[in-house]
Amino acid sequence: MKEVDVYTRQLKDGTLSRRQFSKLIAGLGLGAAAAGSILSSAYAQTPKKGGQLRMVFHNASQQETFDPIKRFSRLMAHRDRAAYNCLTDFTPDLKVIPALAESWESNDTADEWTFHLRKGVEFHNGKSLHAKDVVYSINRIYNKEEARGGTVFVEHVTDITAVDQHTVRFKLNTPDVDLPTVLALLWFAIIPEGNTDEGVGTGPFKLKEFEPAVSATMVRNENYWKSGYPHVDEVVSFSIPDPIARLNALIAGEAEVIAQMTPTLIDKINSTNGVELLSTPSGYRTAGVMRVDVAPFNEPDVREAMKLLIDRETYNKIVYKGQSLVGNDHPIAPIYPEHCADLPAREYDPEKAIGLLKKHGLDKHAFELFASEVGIGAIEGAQVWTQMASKAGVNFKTTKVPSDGFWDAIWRVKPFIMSQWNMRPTANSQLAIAFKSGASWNDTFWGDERFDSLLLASKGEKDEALRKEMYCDMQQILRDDGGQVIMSFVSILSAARSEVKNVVTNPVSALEWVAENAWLDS
Amino acid sequence: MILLVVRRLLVGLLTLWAASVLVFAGTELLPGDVATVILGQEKTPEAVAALRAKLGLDKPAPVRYFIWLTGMLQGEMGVSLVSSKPVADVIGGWVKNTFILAGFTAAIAIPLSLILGMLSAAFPNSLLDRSISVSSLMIVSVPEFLTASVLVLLIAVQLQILPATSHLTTGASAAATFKALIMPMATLTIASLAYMTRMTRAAIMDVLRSPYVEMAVLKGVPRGRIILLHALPNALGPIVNVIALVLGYLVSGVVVVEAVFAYPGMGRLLLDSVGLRDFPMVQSLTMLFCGFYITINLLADILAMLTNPKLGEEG
Repeated sequence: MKEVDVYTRQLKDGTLSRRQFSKLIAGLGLGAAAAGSILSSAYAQTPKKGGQLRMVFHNASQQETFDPIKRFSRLMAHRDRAAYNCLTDFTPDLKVIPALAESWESNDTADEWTFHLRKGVEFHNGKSLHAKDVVYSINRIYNKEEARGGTVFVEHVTDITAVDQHTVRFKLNTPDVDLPTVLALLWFAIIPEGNTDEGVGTGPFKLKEFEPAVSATMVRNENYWKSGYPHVDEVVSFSIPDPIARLNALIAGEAEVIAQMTPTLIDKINSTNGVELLSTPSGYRTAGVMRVDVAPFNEPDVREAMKLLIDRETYNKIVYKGQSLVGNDHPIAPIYPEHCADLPAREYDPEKAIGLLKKHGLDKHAFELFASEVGIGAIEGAQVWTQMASKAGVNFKTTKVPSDGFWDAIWRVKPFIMSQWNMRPTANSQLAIAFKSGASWNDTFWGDERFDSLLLASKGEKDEALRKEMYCDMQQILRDDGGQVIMSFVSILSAARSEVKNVVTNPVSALEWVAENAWLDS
Repeated sequence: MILLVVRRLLVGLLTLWAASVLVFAGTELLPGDVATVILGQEKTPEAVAALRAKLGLDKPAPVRYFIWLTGMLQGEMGVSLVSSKPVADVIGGWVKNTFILAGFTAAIAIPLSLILGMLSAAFPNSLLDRSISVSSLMIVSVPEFLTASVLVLLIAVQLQILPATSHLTTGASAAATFKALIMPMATLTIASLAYMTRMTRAAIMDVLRSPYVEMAVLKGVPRGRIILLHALPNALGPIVNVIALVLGYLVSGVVVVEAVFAYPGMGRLLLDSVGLRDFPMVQSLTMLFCGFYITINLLADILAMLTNPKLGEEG
C-alpha cells in the first residue's frame, strides 16, 4: 500500500511522530496492531554501512569539471553535492534548512543578512572552515567569463564580509527574503580560499579519481560534520547516453541508480523484479509558448482560446502516462510552498474557445505549432493538442523541427512553439526568469506592470501570509493573461535497484542528494 | 606500379581536402554555433558575443577555415572549442577504443568468414553450403541494433553472463575490459561476417570455373589443396576489397552499436561534436575517418595488384 510507504518514510525522516504515524495507519483501516508491526519493521531497517553506489546519468561531456560555478548537468550536480556543502540546504519539499551555516537572521528590511557558521567543520584537505572561504567561494560567481549561471540570483548583493571566523554578512541593494534559499544552490558551494576545481569541499564524499566524460569515483569522508552520514563507502558516477542501455545496465546489476527514464520505459521498469521506478513530482514543464508581441497572440482572447482547447486530464494521461501534475497556465507547480490552490482549474471548453476566436474573425485562422525533441513529450503533446483542437473545429497543425539548433532557430523566433523550462528552486526566480518585463529569457515577450511590482515587493515581504497572497495574485495574472500554455509539470523519472534504501529525491534535479542519504541492503 | 601508387596517394589527398571543405560547409549550414549551443536556453546576446569573441568565432567562415587548414598542414589538429584542450589529447582515448574494438572484431571475423566461405565453395550446393548461405543472408538482413538488443536481452539481462554495457573505466583490469568487449565484438562480427563470407564463396567459385583449376582436377589434385593453393590466392583481389570496406565500416560506421553498449568510441564522439558544433573536433575526426578509408582502400588495391600482376600492368 502506497500510503503506508509514504508514512513510513516520513516517520523515519522525523517529519511524523510515532503517535501521528499510528493515527494515520489507523485511518487507513489497518488497526493499531498493524501500526505496531509496521513501526517495528520500519525501525528494524537501520541503515547499513558500506558498499559501492553506482549512479548512471545520461549526458557525458568533455566539459565536466568539479568547479562549482561551471556546473551544467545533473551528473555534475550529483558530484558537486557529494563533494561540497553550501551555507544552507533544501529538504525534498523545498524548505530551507541549516548546512554549513547553523543559523541566520536579517534586519527588518531584509537587505542585510548574517550567517553564523558551524564550528569545527574541516575541508577534505584538513583545513578548517573560515568565513573567508565563504566570501571567496560566493564572490567567484561574479566572474562572468567563467561562471555558467547563478550570477542572476545574487546580482543585488553589494558586499559580502567575513565579520569574524564564524560570521558572514551579506549587504543587498534590494530586499530579498529568499537569500537563504538561494544560497543552498550549488553555484554557492563552499570551497577553500584559492581553490577552483580540485573537488575539495566539506561534503560527504572525497574525490578519488576523475576523468571528464568518463567517470568519477568518490569515497566516504570519515570526517563529515553530519554524524552518521554518508552510508556507502564509495560512489561512482558515469554516463550511458541511451535510455534503454541505461535501464539494461540497471537490470543487469551494473548500476544501482539511473537517471532520466522516459515514460515509454515505465511498463518495463514496473514489470521487472529487483528494480523500482522513482517518480519525483517536479516543476519542470514542457509548455506551449505564444509570442504575445505578434498577431494573433497579441490578443488576450486568442491566448485564452488556446488554453481552453486542451482536455488536461486526458492530455497528461496520454503524453506522460500519469507521471505528471496538471498545470494551470502559471509556472508555480503544486510542489512549491507558494502554489496557489485556490485558483480555479482551467476547464476544457472548445465552444468558448471557438466563440473567442470568432469574435476576432480568427475561427478559420491556421495555427501552426512548432515542436521538437526539446522538452519531454513535446512532440506527442503537440500532436495531442492538435487533435483536441481539430476536433473542436480549429485549424491547427503541428510542425516537427529538429532539436538541433532549436534555441537559435525556433525559440523566441517562431510565434507558437512547444518548449521546455527547467525548474527553478524558488518561486520568485521561477517567475522572474521567464515573465518579468524585458527579462533575457522572457520567451513570450509578455509584460505586466502590476506583475512586475508584485514580483519586486514579494522579495522584501517578511510576512508569510502577505507573501503568499502576492504569489497568488501573480499566479492569477499569468493564468489569465500570460503567453505560456502550461498544461503539465512533468515528474522526473529515475530508477533504482530494490536493495538501495532511503533514496531521497528532490523536485529540482531528482538525484542530487541521493549519494549522501542512500544505503545498500545486501 | 610505384607511379600508380603515387597517383593514388595524390588523389587521396585531394579527396581529403574536398571532404574537409564539404564537412566545414555542412557544419556552417547547421543552425547555431558552438557559442549558442553551449549556452543553450541560458543564452543572452552579451554572453553569446563574449563567448564567440573568446573562441574566435567572430571571424568570417573562410578565414576560420584557412586558419584550421594551415594548422592541419603543420600537423596541428587545433583546439576543441568546447573543452579548450588540444583535439589530439581529447580524441586519443576514443580513437584507441575504436581501434581496439575494430581490431579484435576483424581478427575474429576475417579468418572466420574466409573459412566459412571456403567451406561453402568446397562443397557447393551441399547442406553445409546452403545453411551457411541461408543463415548469412538472414543475418545480413537484420539491422545491427536489433542484433545488439537481442544479445543484451538474452546474455546480459536474462542469463547475466556478460555485462550489458561496455562502459570502460580507467584502471579496469585487462580481463574486465576484454569481458566488456565481447558483446559489441559479437554484434559487429555477426553484422560483418555475411558480406565477407559470401564474397569469398563467390570469388572462389569463380576461380574454380577457370581452365587451370579444371587441369588441376584432372591431374588428381585433392579439392582442399586446389581451393587453398590454387583458387584462394587468385580470388584474393575481390576478397581483399570487401575486407577493406568492412574495416572502414568497423572504424567509422558503428555509432549505433556504440550507443547500445555505451561504448566510448569515435562514432559517438563525432556525433556529440556535431551536436555541439565543435568544428575542430568534427574536422579532425572526419579527416581521420577519411584518411583511414583512403589508406585501407589503397592497401587493398596494392594487395590486389600484387596477387594479380595483370592489374599492375594495366595501370
